[in-house]
Amino acid sequence: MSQALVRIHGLVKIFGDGQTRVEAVRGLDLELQRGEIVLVMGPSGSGKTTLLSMLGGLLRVSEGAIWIDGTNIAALGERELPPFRARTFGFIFQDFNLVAALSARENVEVALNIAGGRGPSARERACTLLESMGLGDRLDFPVDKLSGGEKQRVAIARAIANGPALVLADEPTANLDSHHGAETMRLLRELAKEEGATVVIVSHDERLGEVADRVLWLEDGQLKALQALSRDPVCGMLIDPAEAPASIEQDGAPLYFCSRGCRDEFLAR
Amino acid sequence: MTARMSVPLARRQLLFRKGRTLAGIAGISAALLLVLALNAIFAGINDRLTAYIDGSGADVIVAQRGVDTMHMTQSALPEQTATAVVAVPGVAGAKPILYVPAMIERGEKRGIVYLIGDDSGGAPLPLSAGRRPDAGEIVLERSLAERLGATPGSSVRVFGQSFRVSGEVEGLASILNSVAFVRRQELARVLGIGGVVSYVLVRARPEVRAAELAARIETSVPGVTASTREAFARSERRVVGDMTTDIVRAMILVGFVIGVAVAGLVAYSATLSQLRDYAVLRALGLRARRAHALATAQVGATVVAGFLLALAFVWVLAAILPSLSPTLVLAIRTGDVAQALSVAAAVTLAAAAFPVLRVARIDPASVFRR
Amino acid sequence: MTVPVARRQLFAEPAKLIVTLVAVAAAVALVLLLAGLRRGMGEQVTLYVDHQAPVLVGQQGARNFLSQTSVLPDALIRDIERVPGVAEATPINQEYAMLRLHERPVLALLIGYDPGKPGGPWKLASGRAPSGSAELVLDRVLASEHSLEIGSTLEYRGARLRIVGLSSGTSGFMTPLAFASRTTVSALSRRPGTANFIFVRSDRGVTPAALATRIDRAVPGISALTRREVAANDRRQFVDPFSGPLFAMVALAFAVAVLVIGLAVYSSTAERSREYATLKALGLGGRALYRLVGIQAAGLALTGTGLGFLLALAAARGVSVFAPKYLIAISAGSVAAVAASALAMAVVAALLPSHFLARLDPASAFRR
Repeated sequence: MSQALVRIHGLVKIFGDGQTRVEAVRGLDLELQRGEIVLVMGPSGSGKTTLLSMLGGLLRVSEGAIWIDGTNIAALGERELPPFRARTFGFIFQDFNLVAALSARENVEVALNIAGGRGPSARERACTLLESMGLGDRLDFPVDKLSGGEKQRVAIARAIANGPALVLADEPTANLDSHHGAETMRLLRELAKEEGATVVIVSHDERLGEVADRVLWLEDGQLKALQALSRDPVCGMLIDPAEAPASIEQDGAPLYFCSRGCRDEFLAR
Repeated sequence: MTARMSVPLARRQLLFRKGRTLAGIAGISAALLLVLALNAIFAGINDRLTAYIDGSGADVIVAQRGVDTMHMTQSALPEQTATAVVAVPGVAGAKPILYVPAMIERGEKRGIVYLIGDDSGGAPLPLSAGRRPDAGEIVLERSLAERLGATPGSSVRVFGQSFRVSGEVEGLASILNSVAFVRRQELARVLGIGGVVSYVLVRARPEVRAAELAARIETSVPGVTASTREAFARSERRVVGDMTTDIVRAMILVGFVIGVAVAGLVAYSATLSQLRDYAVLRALGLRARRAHALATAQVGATVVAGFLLALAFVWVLAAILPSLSPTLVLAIRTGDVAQALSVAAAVTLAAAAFPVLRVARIDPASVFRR
Repeated sequence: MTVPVARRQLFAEPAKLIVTLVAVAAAVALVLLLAGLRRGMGEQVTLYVDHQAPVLVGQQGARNFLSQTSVLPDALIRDIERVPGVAEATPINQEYAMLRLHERPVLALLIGYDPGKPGGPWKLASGRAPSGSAELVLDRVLASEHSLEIGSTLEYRGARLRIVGLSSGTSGFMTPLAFASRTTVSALSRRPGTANFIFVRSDRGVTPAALATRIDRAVPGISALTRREVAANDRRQFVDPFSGPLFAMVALAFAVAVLVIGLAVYSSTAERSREYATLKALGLGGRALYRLVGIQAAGLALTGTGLGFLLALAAARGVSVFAPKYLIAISAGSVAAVAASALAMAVVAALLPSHFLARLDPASAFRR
């Protein structure tokens, strides 16, 4: 059994206090293996982004520990976090979040600079990465001249420039057409299988389930395995059978509904 | 991380929004220009103030006891003082002059001058036109001559008497005052003050040091103060310097306030539009201190550019203004430039607070927000 | 409809608003203070003359009290007194005095007058008027600036003068006043028996102008003018040379104010370009959009100018308390000029953001 890269134990995140107290993540446990691709899905406001932020050391935990490659990032100080982030994580954002003032190459290069790489070697590596993404003729283009697909590829190149152990992707296909979405999926799979990075994807896009080794469902701050979930045949919503408000048996198999309204509608058909 | 980044982030950010950067540079430049220009104007006046003395050929200036200035100063010596001075060993020559403020008129136009009664007609100062004055004649400074429309050969009135303009001098006038030359005896007669001179200009023999000669004259001739030309000029400059100190200080304060406001405004606007970039860079691992340095560097670069622009502007003005208005002379002194530079440095530090405080408040987790 | 939007936009970033207003206020205050200083200098310069008799007699050709030489033999006094309409003729000696105080040259205007007769200090803060030779009355503010008091002595042109009184209402930036007896002053210039000017008081019913003409005609070798004319000439002589530099400073201050307002409005507009693009897409016309920009610029300009005016007043007040030798006289004319320029500021500052809005493509509302 390969050693887990990420071990999350008893993770809790609370926002606000008193009247405005919200438990975004409650008592979450999770292990991620090296080279594994995990897709985290769930309704809006379920805490997916919060989980990703905490995983990436961008948000402080309220309780619990996050062990990444042997280091508990929840215990790292403010000054130790940035260099750790630079070495360990790669981020891919929904809006790409490229620095508009920099060219494609410079966007990748700056990530190398931040991790301590400098001079011609940083520039070379940036060029090599972009060329491998098929952006060899766009190296010095200002980013606002790039298409959505090209921007995402630059963003991915930036995310992997420092050879991170953990790649965190937030809705990586949301702003792409199907062709580029598929491209991105392929790249993420390569990252995990060929580079050995652990990839955590947060998304509504079910197609990503095709490349994921595991699909998790985050709802109300807690994780559930997607395979254990059922789909409401009327409205299509995913439901935890253990907590389904209504259910019936049909042909020996149970059917679960999000509400009695949906069950009644089903029975009426 | 102490290694220099290979990507020039600050420069890229500044050049990305050229318009705003240029506006910031222009505003800061104007603020610093207030300080630089004012100092240059006063320095110019000061330089012209001592132009006559510096070119007079005198090594020592003898005045009434207690007097070591000329402008806005009264000095009266008995005529025999010149003779007594000549007798002092080491004196090569002693020329008595009268130095009185006077109004020169031509038709409806008038101008104030310091009228110098000098039998040598202003020698050794070079003339720019015409010749030295004889009896009934006067040499004017060119800028005044132009203003009065008085070319050599025309007449002007001084103390109710008519004088013919025999020649012109250049480079002796500032915006505050001008100089003119007539024969000394004639001036004394017109004013009814025979037997009195204002100053005695002394040339030293080559082997004698001016300071030594001045001391010698003071001990030998009663009732006088003898100053070396340098000391005299220094004293003259101090008058204007002292009088303008408060105004200069006030201007520095205003220039600083405006500079900080402009630089801070520009930096703040720039930071707001770069908030996302800062958040992303922080998420990628950029340390907080580095982010602050980035913000400060942008402010610093803008201020430096503004300073250089202001300096260039003053330099250009100093070059072209005198041809437009001969008395409007700007003098750029190293000390004043250094002073403006320190104002610029102070502006950078103060204005950097705006973006730095804002950047410090950035939450790296905001990168995930839509 | 657009007014609350403009106001909301201005107040959306209070820090930016304050900084913009500070810059504009500082620039405006600078202009008012410099112009006020120049005007104040002019007023100070004629301080002495304004307190004297209405007709002034000087050497032939004299038109100013200051900045020129005028020498009159004492005998002329009687000649003038004989002119019908003359009530009193007061001889005065006057010179710029470069005093040496603590090793530094300090400029004052020294008046020599006959003790007991007019021409001396009009208000004493302490001590008495000079009676004998080598006695001096010095302006109170000048004295305190240099730690001089009654009993102090100072050297002037080789003579030791003792301070016997301190005058008030005689201070000036370039020409604080000092008074001594006429014999003292004329002796220093080695011109005994002469006066520089003679102030003449007229009999009842005789106007100063008429008397001046009369004296001018009756007495040879002199020029007689009204005090008003002389004061006006002196003021102009002092103040005119500073017009050039003042103009330069005003131009710079105006440029700064325009830049700052333009930048503030432009950056707010550019940052909200999507909102404006949306408004344009929804059909909001060009005029309404320009009004939005114009109102912001005008609001900043007028408020900044108002604040600048208050700042200038406060600074002038502060100066009169802490540095009374400076007189800052802010005239209604300069205030009006500044107020008018505020509008000009707003118009020029609004040009760039207006241009930006005109070029803004409404379709960009849909772009990411």
